Amino acid sequence: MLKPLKSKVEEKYQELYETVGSVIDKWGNSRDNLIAILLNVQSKSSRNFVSKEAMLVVSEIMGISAQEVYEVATFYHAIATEPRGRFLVQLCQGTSCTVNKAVNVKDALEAEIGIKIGSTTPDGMFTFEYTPCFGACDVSPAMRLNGKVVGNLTQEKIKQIIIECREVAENE
Amino acid sequence: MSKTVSVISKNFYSVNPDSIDEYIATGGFEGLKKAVSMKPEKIINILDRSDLQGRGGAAFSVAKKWTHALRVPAPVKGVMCNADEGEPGTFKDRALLEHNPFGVIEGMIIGAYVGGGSQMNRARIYIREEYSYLHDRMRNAIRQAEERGFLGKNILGSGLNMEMNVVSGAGAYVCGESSALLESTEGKAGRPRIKPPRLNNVGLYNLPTLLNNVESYSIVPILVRDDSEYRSYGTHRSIGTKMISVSGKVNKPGVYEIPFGITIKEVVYDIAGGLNSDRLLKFVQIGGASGAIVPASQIDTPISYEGLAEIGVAVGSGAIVVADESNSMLDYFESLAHFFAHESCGKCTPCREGNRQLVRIVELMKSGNATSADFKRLSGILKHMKGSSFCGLGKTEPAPFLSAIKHFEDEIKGYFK
Repeated sequence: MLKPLKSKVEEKYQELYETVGSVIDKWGNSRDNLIAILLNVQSKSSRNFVSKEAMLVVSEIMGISAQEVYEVATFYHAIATEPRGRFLVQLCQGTSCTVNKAVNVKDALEAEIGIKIGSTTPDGMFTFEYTPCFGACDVSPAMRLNGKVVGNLTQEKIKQIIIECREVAENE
Repeated sequence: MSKTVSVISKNFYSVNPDSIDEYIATGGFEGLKKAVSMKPEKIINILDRSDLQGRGGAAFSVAKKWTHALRVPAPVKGVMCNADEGEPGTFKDRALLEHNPFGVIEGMIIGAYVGGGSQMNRARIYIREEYSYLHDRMRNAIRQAEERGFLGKNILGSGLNMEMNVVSGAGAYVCGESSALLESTEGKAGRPRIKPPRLNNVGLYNLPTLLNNVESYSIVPILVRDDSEYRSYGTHRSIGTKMISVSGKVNKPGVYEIPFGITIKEVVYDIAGGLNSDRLLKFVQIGGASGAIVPASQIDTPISYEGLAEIGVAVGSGAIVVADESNSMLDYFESLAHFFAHESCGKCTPCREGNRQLVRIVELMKSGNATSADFKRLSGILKHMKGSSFCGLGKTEPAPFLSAIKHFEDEIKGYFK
């Protein structure tokens, strides 16, 4: 891992420096690994996002300007720069899901989670958002729950899934 | 009698996709072995004989592309596989990566043999983040291919050198555009590059680069080994088979391999089991979100390059989304407009601003406040986007809107005061 001499960023964000540094070591400090590194850094964040501080650390260790790191982080939908919930519920808004009435699923999820689509619960448990098609049209209407595809959604299924999420969080 | 065939999908569910031994036992890598004993020009002839056209959607002649790759002199070249597949309704590449990963790799190696350089060629498979569960499958397949000497130095004694990696996308439809895909592979924001230079001259890491879709690469080893079965399917002008993905209001959504020439109706009713509701079929969208809307009155059209061209439709990615009478064109417009507005990279004004305006007009339609002036604006914006957008995203996006306006004029005009 490359370290600039007398790094102020390292002094300020010691723990983050370690975490991000180990991710960069794993992938290799090369520009073409930037997206993989940002995705990996995000997966290590408890709030499912890449913070500004993390971007600064990536920038310093990799020797890429902070602006460029920020540009890449904000360009891609799979990288978030604002904190998200413990459970990320992403409902597909694609054409197949639309014809299979994803709108009913949206209403059911809003009722079950207790928030409108596009927001995060105050306790940080759920983020509920629309997402573009993720290629699971054969099981539409579908959503991704923390990246995992859940298809053929019905009101009963949604109820069960949200209950299970709450149980997982309670047992943590 | 089943109307599906299995040439490209021969290994589906019968060969363990995590085992190179099983792949080899069913004739895997025979295509590559045969290829390295042939002159590259001969392989291009085989592709040309089958008139193989790019299966990502653009339908450019694979033989022409490979001929160009062969002619560009460079010691090191790039070989890319586009596994971004972001077209809504399309999931046929997902099935190929899932069930036939070695076939994709074998096709890429043959591609490098035909169009590669003399030193270590760099091959990358760019797979969308949404398919992250398939990344490890492909990495495993690459590792096994390396162990058997199908990748690395002096592959099968042919003098070909090649290293291969999986690269993850991060959720951006525009990265399916070839130059945006390269930008993303190099760790940058995925905005399309100015062309020329074309990427077969200046591509990945500025190397001359050969780029094809997952399905195109998957077909190559089959053709090189023995193209007679593949060529026995299809029509006179659309040879062979096509992987399609059918979804929406049908009983059996899924990925199917069909011979070119069967009709849309046969796909919907005989293959996909008909509609899953007691309503009538209203329309199908062919080729993904940027594909045309085909009304129920035209479903006797054969699925072939020439058959669909007669009604002004392209084969595209091979997606077929089926809608019934319960689906309004307005809801469909909303899905499309939001999708493209979200996915426009913002580089060029017609696409960036056009999409913002499309969303606004659709919202006006939804609220019942759209006027005839807005309809004129809609038509104007679509025309400008089609004619002056920088890349294929903005250029092809108007197709579903324009075809819907053509075939469902009364319904759409009904949303404007």
